[in-house]
Amino acid sequence: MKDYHNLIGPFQKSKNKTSTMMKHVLIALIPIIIFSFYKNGIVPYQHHLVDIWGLWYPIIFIAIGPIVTCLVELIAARFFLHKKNNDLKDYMQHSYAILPGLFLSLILPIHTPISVLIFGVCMATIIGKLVYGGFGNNIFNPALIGRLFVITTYATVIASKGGYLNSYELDTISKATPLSNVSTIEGIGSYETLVSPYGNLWNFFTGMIPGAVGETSALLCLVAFFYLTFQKVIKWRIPVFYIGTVWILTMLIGWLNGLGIWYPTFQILSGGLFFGAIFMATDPVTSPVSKNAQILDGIFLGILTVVFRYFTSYPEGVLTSILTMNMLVFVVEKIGLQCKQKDKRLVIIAVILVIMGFVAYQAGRLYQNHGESKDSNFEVINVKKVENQVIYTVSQKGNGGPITCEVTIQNDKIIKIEVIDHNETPNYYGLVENQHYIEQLIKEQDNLSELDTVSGATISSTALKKLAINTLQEYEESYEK
Amino acid sequence: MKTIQNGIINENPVFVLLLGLCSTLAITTRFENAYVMGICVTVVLIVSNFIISCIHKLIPTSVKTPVYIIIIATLVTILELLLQYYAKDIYDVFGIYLPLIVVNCIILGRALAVASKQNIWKSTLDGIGIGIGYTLALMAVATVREVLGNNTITFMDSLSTLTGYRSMYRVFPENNFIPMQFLVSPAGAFLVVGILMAIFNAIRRGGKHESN
Repeated sequence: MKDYHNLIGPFQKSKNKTSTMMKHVLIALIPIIIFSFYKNGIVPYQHHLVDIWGLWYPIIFIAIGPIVTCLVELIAARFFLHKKNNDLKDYMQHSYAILPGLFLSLILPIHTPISVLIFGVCMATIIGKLVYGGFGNNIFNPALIGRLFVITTYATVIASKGGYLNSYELDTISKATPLSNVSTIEGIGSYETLVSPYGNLWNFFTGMIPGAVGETSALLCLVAFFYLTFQKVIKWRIPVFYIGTVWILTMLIGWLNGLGIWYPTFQILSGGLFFGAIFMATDPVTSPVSKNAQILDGIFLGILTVVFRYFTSYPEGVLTSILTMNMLVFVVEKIGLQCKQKDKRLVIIAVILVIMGFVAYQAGRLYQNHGESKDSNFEVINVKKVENQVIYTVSQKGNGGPITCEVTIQNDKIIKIEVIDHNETPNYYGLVENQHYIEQLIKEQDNLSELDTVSGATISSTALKKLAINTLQEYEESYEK
Repeated sequence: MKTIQNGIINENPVFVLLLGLCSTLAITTRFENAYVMGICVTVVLIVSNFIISCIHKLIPTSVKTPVYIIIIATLVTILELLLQYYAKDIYDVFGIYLPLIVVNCIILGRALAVASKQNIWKSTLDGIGIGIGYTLALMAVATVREVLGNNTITFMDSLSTLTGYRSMYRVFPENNFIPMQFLVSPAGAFLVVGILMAIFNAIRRGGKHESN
């Protein structure tokens, strides 16, 4: 036996070094990358929708991320930290530059331009990682920081290039991602409107639905989860409690609205929840250490995700909640320590249950009031009658405030919609104008509720659509009786 | 000359002393706002430093802070009324941040640290130096934020009612460059100030690490 008294700790008992852990993560990602190649490359190629370049594009796209992160780290180490030869080699081996880049290219939409991808990867490495002092010191998950930059800055660019849907899906489904689809539907929706456009729930499970490059397949994420847990690489409590909390909360919300068990399953399978919970939330650097804290972390992540999905205009919620919890890890760690005492544990569990109940109740009620009363975001400002025309001045709440329009109705038909004033983000509103959405509204006014919104400017275009619907309704009520 | 240089580089209020960050973060969305704000603060700073260094011997130490605040507030009110009359547009843009110059830590800080200790000539020079340092820092932040975040650079727009001359330029060709709107948002302001601060201090120290 070794004499430990004369040696200086800490001692390593298991063989689980950081480098072997990272190797296991890479192995777990291989099936996901292959699946992404199949879904975004091979399937469109089989249907002759893309050429040979489009076949290999997903692989090239995924490869660019890690290559750029390695380059950025190499430059930073060589020229800013003045590392040379063996030092440099040692530094590169222990900074694991590949992973953030790989993760980032897996969670971006397939139609992200390469220049935007490179921008995001640089931001992820520089601002997410190097500024804090390299691997092991970062507070936030670098890949998510990169995605945050890309989404906040270039969302409209990505949307105008085609967004999340690959060429095959554009041809067959031509709807937004499942979660953006949710936000365009009046009320809570039904199986026909939420799941049926994408086939059935099995498609959601295997990942043949629109979404980011590598995050759609829950099945492969689960395989990776079991592999990584078996190898003791990730903390299994976080993903289990995270996904479990989201499932329970959405089940309660669905139950309040009389929906079946398919609803929570739909909610956990769509978007990047599985990928985020298994690979991002368990990132060894930015997640809690003690067991109780991991459970709490998972539960808080779940609550936050539900809050973001139901109460804000962002359909996804996983990215924001993981970044928020990264910030609060030390708080969670402290609450986790308190859990060791029995009476305090009971109080904490009670508080969590109350919060969960409150969130579920509020989110459930959100939709119950919806259908009954008139749209509270709609307002009639003025009605003018000129010969056989009726001119309504109305406003509908959009993304940045009310959009005010003059709607002219002649012979029970809208003949003109003129936007007088709006406060929308110019980029988004530009998309609405580019697609001549107002002309479409006038043309399709008999079945407005089925008209698609402008992808990338969903809120602005939905507001315009609702404005037209509400004005027609107002007109019918006052003139047809 | 040394005092002025000290105010710009070694004691740059924004990048080294970290004073007056509130206005730095809030109004640097346009180049024009930055330099007008800088000039306003510089004027108030010089005059307040001058007045305070003249009268500091008359003021009992126990009430010096309230007296300084009254002097600064008077100056800021005069400035506010002048701007409201002559440059209504820029007055509207600044909104609350103009009256807030009263509690801008730079002015009170310099009054307590320099003007109440040094002679008139030195404290006036210090006001000029710190004022220029603040203006240059604001201009640097605003240049980065406006050029990258909005793809324009505004030398004179709201002031044009006063000068009758307008100059706004588009920096990059519109088709090749997509502005990063993120930088115009408050979070972007923090990021830009942080990065510029790092670069400024790295150059100031000449690559050497200072141990505190």
